[in-house]
Amino acid sequence: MTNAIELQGIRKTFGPKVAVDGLDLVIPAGLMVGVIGPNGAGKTTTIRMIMSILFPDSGRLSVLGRASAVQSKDRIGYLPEERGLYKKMRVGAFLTYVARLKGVDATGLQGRVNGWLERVGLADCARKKCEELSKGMQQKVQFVGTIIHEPDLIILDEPFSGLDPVNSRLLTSLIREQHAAGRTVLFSTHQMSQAEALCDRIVMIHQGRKVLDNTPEEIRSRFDPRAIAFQPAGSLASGPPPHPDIESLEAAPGHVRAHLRDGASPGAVVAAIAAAIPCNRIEVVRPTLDDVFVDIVTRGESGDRQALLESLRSGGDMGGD
Amino acid sequence: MLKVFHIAVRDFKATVFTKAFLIGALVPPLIMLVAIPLVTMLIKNEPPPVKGRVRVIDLSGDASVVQRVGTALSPEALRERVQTDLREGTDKAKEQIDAMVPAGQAQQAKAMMDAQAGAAARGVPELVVVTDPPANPVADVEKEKDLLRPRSNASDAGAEPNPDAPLALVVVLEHAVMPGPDGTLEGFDLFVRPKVDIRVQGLLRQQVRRAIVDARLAAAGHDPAKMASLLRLDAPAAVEMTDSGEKKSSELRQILVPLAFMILLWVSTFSGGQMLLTSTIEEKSNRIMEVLLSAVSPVQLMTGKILGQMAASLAILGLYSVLGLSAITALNRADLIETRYLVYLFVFFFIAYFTIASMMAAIGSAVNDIHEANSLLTPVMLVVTAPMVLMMPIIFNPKGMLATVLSFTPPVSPFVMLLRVCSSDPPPTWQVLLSMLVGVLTVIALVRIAAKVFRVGVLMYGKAPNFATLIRWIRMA
Repeated sequence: MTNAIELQGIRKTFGPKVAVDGLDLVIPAGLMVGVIGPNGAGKTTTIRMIMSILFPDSGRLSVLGRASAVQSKDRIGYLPEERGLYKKMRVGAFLTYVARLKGVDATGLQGRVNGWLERVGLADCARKKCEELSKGMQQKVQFVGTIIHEPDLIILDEPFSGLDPVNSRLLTSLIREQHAAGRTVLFSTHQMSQAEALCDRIVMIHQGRKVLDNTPEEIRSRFDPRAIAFQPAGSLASGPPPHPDIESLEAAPGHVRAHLRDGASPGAVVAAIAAAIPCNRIEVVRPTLDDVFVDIVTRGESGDRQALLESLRSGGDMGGD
Repeated sequence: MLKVFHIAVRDFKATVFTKAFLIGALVPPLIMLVAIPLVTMLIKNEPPPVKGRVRVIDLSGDASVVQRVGTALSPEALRERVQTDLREGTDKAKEQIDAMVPAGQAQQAKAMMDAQAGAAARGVPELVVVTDPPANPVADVEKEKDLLRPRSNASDAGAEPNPDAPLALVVVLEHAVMPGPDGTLEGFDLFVRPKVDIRVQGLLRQQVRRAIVDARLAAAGHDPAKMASLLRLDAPAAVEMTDSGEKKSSELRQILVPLAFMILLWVSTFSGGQMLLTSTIEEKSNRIMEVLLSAVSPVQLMTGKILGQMAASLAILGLYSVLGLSAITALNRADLIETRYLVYLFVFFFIAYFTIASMMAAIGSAVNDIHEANSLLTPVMLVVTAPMVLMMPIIFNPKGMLATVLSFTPPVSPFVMLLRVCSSDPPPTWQVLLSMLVGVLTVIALVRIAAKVFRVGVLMYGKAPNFATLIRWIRMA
């Protein structure tokens, strides 16, 4: 399997600020990869360097087997974070123009544009001016513009920002479809749930460095904080914990949380707790990507970990970087 | 490059096929076509019909004065005077037309003037002269003046004066014809009621003046009619001796031709630059830049935009050139325009356009919106409007120090050199070629700098840039 994207020791500075610091990244062809990271982590800068819109100060990169995306721009579909439309241009004309710029032949292009507009529910909008569309409709037009030339590599910077759940689901299915057709997809997002549900692999960038690069499953297991939550039937008797692998017991509203030592086996501890204390409910606490994300971001930082976690769980959009 | 072409085509269409462009480009010439006849029609030299009595009081005692004034103010004399004046004015204007337009082709213009003169003649005031019977003692001047006033009754204030009141009062002073004891001559006083048309007043003054002068001549023993014919002499226009023959020297040609070419160049290149600026800012503020940059490089994008707006600019230049040339051909004075002027116009158009366009592209890419552009535009505009301000000294002295130095000074060199080559005293060929070389080198340098600013600027949002920022970007790129 060839690699769609290869980055080696990429570094980019803007004046005194280091945006990307020695980033290595290999993305094999055909994979769907999510790039996550807090604001200002360097996601957009990295994507722009992959697109040859910015150029790294040092390091080596190759895109679709070429040394620069400039040579393979027509095979890449790119939805930037800063995306807009010509207000006065008609939707059909805009998509045709974008496709022509991407080297699509004029013959049959009209049919292709109309077909795509139909697929995203904008069949009657081809003659409308872009400024007449709602924001969600514009987003869909932009997505169609990204893939209209049937690229091998699709790069989407924050594709879900500003979409309502219905359109978000439509976009998810469209991205899945592109992936199923064998195309490499790379997208950045703040919405962990989307990345978790869609991606074969998740890359996390923090302060210009790659801090995670694995499958969602592996990431979760690696960052398993190994806690077990249980709800005692009566009052919890004081005394030593029922299993030596339990580091501490913490009373939380409505339940008790048992934090495990490293290397402990959750199954044995659950059995021990169940035997020692009558419980209404007992479960292993699975970390979500949100937990991982927040854990890495706040490690060594004095940020309000709980608040960040809450904001992520409520699905709040954190904006671009 | 096919992509550059697609960008250029889109930019051209987006600029030219808009109502704003069509109105902006077509309306000024249309306004001129409509406005000139309309304004001429409106300002027809026709005074409102005036009827009234003119009271003449003669204090000089010269018997002929009153009679001469009466004759001078008679309807026939007035009509003749009005027509003579108009003819003289019209002749002067016709002479100007003759300088620009050869005989035979100006008939229409002249006919229009004659028609106007006829219309003016119809508006001659009808005056009745009232004099004192010779036997009567001299009337009371103050009392007669009072008669001209509107009624001073408060309730009647501002109302029309008594319709029976005279229109004007002419007082011929005592020593108007024969000098007084100290040898000085006097003239006359003229009093009118309020709101008398200024042309009627002028006519009255002129006619009374002539009547008194005639009376003086007669008193001195001359024949006024003979004197008038002796004093009539026209000054002819100078004739220029050229190799191809004789032609009437025309100040108009000397000024108008370079002026027209320079304005044509200026208007077309600046509207192109302005359109490029707006379209670049639009792409940036609508966040389209990065979408485009996923398909093309910044330099391709800039090149495409500059070429697209150049086509729009050329459309304006072409349109105005064709309009101007057809106008001048209709007047049969195509000889004013030499073919080389047109060649120079287009050569300098390309130099001037690329000079301005590269500056506009750099500014447009750097700013977030049109307001921020103003602070960067002001110094640029100050420099490039210099040829407009200095146009007259350059036209009048096309080989002077100012003209020569400026025609090699970027970025104004193409404008100034075009003025010089179209003037009646064109510079030597080596200077023209040197100026072109300076222009081309300037264009190369500016396009390179603009590309650097453009590459960085199109993705920069936030703080309004200043020139220091631009220089930092140039170093960065």
